[in-house]
Amino acid sequence: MNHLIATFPFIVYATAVLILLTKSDTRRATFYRKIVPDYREFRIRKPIRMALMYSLLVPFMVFIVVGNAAGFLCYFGAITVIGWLVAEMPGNVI
Amino acid sequence: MTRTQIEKSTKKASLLSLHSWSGVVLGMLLYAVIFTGTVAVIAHEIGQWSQSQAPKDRLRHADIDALVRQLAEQTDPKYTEEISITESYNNQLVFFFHTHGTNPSGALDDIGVEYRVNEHNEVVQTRQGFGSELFPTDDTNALGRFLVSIHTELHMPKPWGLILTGILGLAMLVAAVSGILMHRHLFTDIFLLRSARSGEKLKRDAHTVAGTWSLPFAFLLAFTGSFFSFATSFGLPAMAMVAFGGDQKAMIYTLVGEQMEVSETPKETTNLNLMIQDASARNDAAPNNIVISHYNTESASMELFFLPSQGAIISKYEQYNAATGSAEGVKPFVGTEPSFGSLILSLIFPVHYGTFAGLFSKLVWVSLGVASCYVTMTGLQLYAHRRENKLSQWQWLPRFCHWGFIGLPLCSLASAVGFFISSSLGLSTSNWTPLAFVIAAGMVTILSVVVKPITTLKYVLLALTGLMCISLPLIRIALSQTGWISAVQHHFEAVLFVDLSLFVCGALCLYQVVNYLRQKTLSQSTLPEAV
Repeated sequence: MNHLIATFPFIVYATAVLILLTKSDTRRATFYRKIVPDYREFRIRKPIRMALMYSLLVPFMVFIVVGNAAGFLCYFGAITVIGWLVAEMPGNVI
Repeated sequence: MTRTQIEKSTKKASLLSLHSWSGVVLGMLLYAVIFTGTVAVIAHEIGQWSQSQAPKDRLRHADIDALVRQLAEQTDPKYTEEISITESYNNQLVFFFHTHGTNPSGALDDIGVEYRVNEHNEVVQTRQGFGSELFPTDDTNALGRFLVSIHTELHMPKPWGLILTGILGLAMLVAAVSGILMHRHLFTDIFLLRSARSGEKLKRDAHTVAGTWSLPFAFLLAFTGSFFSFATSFGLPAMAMVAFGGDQKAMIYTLVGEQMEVSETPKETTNLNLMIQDASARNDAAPNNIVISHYNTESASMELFFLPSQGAIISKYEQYNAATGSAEGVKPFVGTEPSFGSLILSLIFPVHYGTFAGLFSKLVWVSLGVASCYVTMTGLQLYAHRRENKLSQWQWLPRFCHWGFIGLPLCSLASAVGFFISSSLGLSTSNWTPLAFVIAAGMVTILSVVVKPITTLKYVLLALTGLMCISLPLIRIALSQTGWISAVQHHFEAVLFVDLSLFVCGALCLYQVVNYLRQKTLSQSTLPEAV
């Protein structure tokens, strides 16, 4: 199970980053600002957003370096599903 | 409009047309394949769950050597050419003593005797025949086998089912590529789901967001799935024709890496248990299955199949010279020498089914399957929604969507009910599992025709699915006496996983139904006030 436990911190990190990216998405904010009365806008500057986005690729490098192929695939699948689920959340949640 | 703009607009219309038609024509079949593929990821757990008996790793702990010797003595010597040993889901050891031949339909097949040995090392069942006749009538795995067969062949005769699922995989690739090309804001819209809207806009957003996120895996799963289908139905026979002059047997010997020159000189095979213990210790696991070739001859060999070890993706075949008992290392997936082609081939199965890191990777792969199902559903629903108000000839499509999208899970659950009931009555589960599916499909079809309001039809089917999901674990517990406490005590994760998944799915279905009924009651009670 060790190689799987090693993927969990990365998955937690990716979830946090994906929530931040979703919350600070300008197109999403523009839409929800109009329809959610107390919508709390959360802005992140574009370079930081880009850095956050690219940081999602770092775990892939780590998995390659340590030779954890199963972790690589699990992380890849997990961010796909988490990204979709986070984007599905309505504006009053995220 | 400039000429470039007109060209762009025409290209976009063509791509939309390609995307829509590949989805509309094959969408429902594609959904059937993806849904059952999602189930197929946990087919092993479903097999264990359906028998409610915790695995005991008997291939590692039983006295295999004594059992093989005892059974070999009572078997026709020609069937000792190859002996495959597996553990069934009801903890019986299954020994298949066989040789290779041609079955009545003219295909290459295994022929021999199958023995089932219970936990007291007693032979409880003996059957003789072709492998293609014996395996499809194994009652212990009837449920998992039935669901997997929908995924791989749609229960169509060979090779047509495989060809159709291969075409469906290609249709998925076409839809993914045309989807990328025609959507201008694919990645900028990746977080935008306008859930406050309704109708076409919400459906389009839902389709685009889920489609974009699952895009890499749509490619991966569609490609690997098509490969499986076409390799078996078309690729291998074509290769036999071209490279081996039509000699399929020679091709299989080369691919499997079997010895071409075999000495039949008698020589007692060394203790099988020692080789099993050695391989199990080196892999820190019990073998998944064992194959012994040319038993009690100079050419005797043994192969033990192990699921991927920690951090790895690829399964392993440990090979032994059974005449001397010496380990011969890991056998390549294809051929006798390690090769890049063998490596790629060995990656395809785990990448397609997510069977490389236990329940964790399977859970991720099931979620990816759900996302792909959702993309197919929203795509077809979007097409139906765009047309239902405009053209009268498309009125059937939304009804067809509910029939298929909710009907298929409902019928699959009904097949599980059929399995449990027939098993408890001592009937053939191999017959009753598909029959229960067909009966349920008939009832869902009648409901879809009889219930006129389309929203009512949707929620009736959802309510039935929810009730079936919740009742299945209760039926299983009542019939098997293996409850959750016992499952925890025996580290029987498969039972807990499937039961809890069913409860969650049931609760989600019933929540939607209750929500709909509440809103309906609310709108009816506020209507007179408004008037």
